[in-house]
Amino acid sequence: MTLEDFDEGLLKWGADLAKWPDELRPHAEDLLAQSEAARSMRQEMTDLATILDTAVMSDVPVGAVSAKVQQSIAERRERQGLLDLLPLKKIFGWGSLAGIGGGAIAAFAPVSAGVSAMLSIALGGTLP
Amino acid sequence: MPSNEDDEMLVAAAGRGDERAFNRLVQRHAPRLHAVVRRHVGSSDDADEIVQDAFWRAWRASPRWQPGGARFSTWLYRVAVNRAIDHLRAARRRQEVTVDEMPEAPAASAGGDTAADNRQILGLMRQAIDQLPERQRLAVLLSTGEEKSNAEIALIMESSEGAVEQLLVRARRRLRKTYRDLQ
Repeated sequence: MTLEDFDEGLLKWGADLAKWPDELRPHAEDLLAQSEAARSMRQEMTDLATILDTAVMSDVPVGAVSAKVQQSIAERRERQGLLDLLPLKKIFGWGSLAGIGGGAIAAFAPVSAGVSAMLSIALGGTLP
Repeated sequence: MPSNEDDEMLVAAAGRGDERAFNRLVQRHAPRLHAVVRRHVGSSDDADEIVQDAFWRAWRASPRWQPGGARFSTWLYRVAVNRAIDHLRAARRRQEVTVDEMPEAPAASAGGDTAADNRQILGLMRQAIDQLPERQRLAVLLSTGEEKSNAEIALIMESSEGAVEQLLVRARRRLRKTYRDLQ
């Protein structure tokens, strides 16, 4: 393996040789054992990976992000729970409910059948 | 690095309605997922929404989760990444953002203050990530933290492993040049 091949491998698979393809790893290890330049290239890629990870993660408010997600899920569960209490859903399912809603609109409201169909689709599409 | 088996046990428990198990998955995966999405879409508020939606989908899908298939984190990232890509497409339709409109790089510090220098280096590296072409940026963001293999990144990006490797070669070469220039 040449230094150019090794550099290409570092760019593709990173500095951790465990992530390199099995057939190339022994050649990379041999080169590292022999070449100071290869060791230096690998160290630079390790440093780059560290600084990129720090750049991406260092300004993330870890606790706040998790708390927001947990709160959002709790609120959605609560809404979902309330919707599940509606008896029509249990009896007919949402598709039927949407159809009934659209049918009722078509029967009793001064709207066209096309609008009624669209409302049925919209109801069916937004309700979980 | 969390093990796949741990995640699968937690998803299975969440599927039986165990909210604490699901909250552990949130604590484990939300911060890095948020960081990746935020850097990709460029907005913390938008990342909040995308990440919350991805976890909500995960919660709702958990009773139907099939063990032994794709890793939970791969599935979760794929959902969030698809939303992030759609979000960027919609944003592009609303307003074309060109390289010319990107902020100028801050001037190099005069030296002497190591903490300030480090902050500045991190800021410049973030800017270098932001300026990568979209797919290169996404590939390199997914590769940070060394948690994902190129094969997993390919699954998340719905691409081939070879294509991901080429994206990473180009992205890392460019970022390495920026890093060298900062030395």
